[in-house]
Amino acid sequence: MDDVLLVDRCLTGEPAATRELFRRHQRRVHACLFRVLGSNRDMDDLLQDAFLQVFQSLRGWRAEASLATWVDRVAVRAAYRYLSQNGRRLQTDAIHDDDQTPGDHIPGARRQLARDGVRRLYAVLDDLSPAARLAFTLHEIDGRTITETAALVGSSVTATKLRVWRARKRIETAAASDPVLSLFLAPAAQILAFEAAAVSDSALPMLADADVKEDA
Amino acid sequence: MRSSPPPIPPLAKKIVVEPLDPERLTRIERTVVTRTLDASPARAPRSSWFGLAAVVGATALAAGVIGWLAHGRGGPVTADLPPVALAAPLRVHTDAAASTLDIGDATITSSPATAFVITRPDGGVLVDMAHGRVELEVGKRGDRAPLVVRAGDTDVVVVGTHFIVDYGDQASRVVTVLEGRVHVVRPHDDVFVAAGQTWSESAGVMTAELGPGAGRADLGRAGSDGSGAVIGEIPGRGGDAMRIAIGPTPRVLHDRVAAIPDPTRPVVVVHHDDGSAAHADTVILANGDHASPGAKLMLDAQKDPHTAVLAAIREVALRAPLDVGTTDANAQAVQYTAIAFPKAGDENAKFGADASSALYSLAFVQAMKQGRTGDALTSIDAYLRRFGHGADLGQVLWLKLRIHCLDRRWDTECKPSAQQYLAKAPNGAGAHVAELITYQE
Repeated sequence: MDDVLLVDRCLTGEPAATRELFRRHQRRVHACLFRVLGSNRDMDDLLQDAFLQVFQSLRGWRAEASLATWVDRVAVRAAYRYLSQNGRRLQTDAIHDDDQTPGDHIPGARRQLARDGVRRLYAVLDDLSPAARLAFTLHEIDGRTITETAALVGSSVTATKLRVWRARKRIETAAASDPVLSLFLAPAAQILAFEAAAVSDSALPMLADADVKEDA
Repeated sequence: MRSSPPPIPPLAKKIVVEPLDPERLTRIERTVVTRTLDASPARAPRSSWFGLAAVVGATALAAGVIGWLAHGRGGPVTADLPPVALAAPLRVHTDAAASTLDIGDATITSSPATAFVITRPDGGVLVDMAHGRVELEVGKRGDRAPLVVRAGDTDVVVVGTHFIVDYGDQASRVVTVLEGRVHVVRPHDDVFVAAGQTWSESAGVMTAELGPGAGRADLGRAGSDGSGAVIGEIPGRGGDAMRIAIGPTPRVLHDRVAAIPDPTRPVVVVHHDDGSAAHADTVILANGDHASPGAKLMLDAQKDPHTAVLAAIREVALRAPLDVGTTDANAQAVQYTAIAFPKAGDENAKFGADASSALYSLAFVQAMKQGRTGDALTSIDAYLRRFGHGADLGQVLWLKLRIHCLDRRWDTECKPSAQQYLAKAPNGAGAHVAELITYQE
């Protein structure tokens, strides 16, 4: 069903249409919130609040932007409010391996690296301002272009670029003093090398090398 | 020398989203839908869409009325009417006697002194009443936008049924449903009204007192030949309104499948003196122009593959709710709630089997008497959390199945409910029907 027709049916108070709109967009909105906030125990409430906002504001959608973009904008605003409240620190839980597929055997060291790396990455993100965090996560993790990111957060492209750049610098600096984060952020080839080293019990010297490099 | 940190490679693939489990997702969805429907102050589609659609829809309606006016059997029929390019919605005013307007996918019978405006927003129908009383029969609308009857701040949302809306002199509103079910939506509440029920602002949903003459007969007929009773008005160019006289009552629409009026091929129906209806082959306007009769109404009901299953579901009786000395649904709901959720320190509080039975009864009344299926599902969820092995479990699960399946949420809700019923109540009265549901495509 066309988005315009679906929205009009939602506005007539049709439960089936309301459900349909939720189902069409929930997966993408949840993924976006997850990437911005990390694995979070408040995720259910956030997703619920985001969609309640969507339906409360639905009359304001003018079909100038796609419905998906408009819904994302509302969700990003919900994330911004959440981040702004009391400078809360987020609860980052376990994370899955990036290219895990059913049946894959994931080496334990690599899985542990992914968990630790994500936790440390989001710990650094916790120290960023909400606007900078949104800009960085939407662009670098959610994979949106700078222009899209700027539109979602309601900032200029220049300001968004600057926020992303500053956030990257902050993370690079943190990674320079944190070998686990550094390895997590490293290209896949380097991680594979780490994995191979872990198999041959030489992981510790590799991490030690990183520390030495930092000291130098 | 301290080296500068290496640039961060793209992170998009390093963070993998953990999916929400279906149970959490279902809970969120239900909460969002319920709260949205409860809180939404405005229920009508946006005016901008109405405006655009009205122009298109009114054109089709105009041609329909032109044909409707043209009496005669076979061959070309002549309507003594000027060609009209509509820029405004069709307006219909009733005069001294009742009238019926056939708009293709619905018939609207109105009592004397009724005024309403019809528009077609995006394939839906909006009947915006100023005052009076209308009776509607609406064909199955499938995936099309619903028909909405608006009486002041009250919207009656219809997907296919037979009902009456009375918008009285004191701005009171009464909705009586003869077949099917309608959704009455107001700024701060909404309720489903089922066949045999009536809803009013003052009393809420009650059992309708329908005599043998209820329904269309209530509104009277136009005359012995059913013609000439109604004055319609189609605004034309330069303020010239077209006056119309309405023909006899057409056949009812029990199973008529919605016809989608094509603006380029409008629906034209000619009503004969004997009450039958037919499509005109050609309509010749007074100035010699021809109007194509266009889209045919599909009078044969589309076969519904689920009809047998739905009938079987309805045949499985649910146990009656607890007897609390009243048959008033609202009073029953209050008492069941008090039993199921006793206040702390209440010396007369009942637990165990009594609370289980009260919670089932609450869900039953909400679903079967009040038409509040969303609330009923919430009560059912509460029951399943508290009384996972309660004595009323089979009844509760059957009620859940019934709500989902009659709402035709086949794959998302109905089948899972049937599977849950079979797992928990394999020897229940509805087990054979539940099994049938699981086989449905």
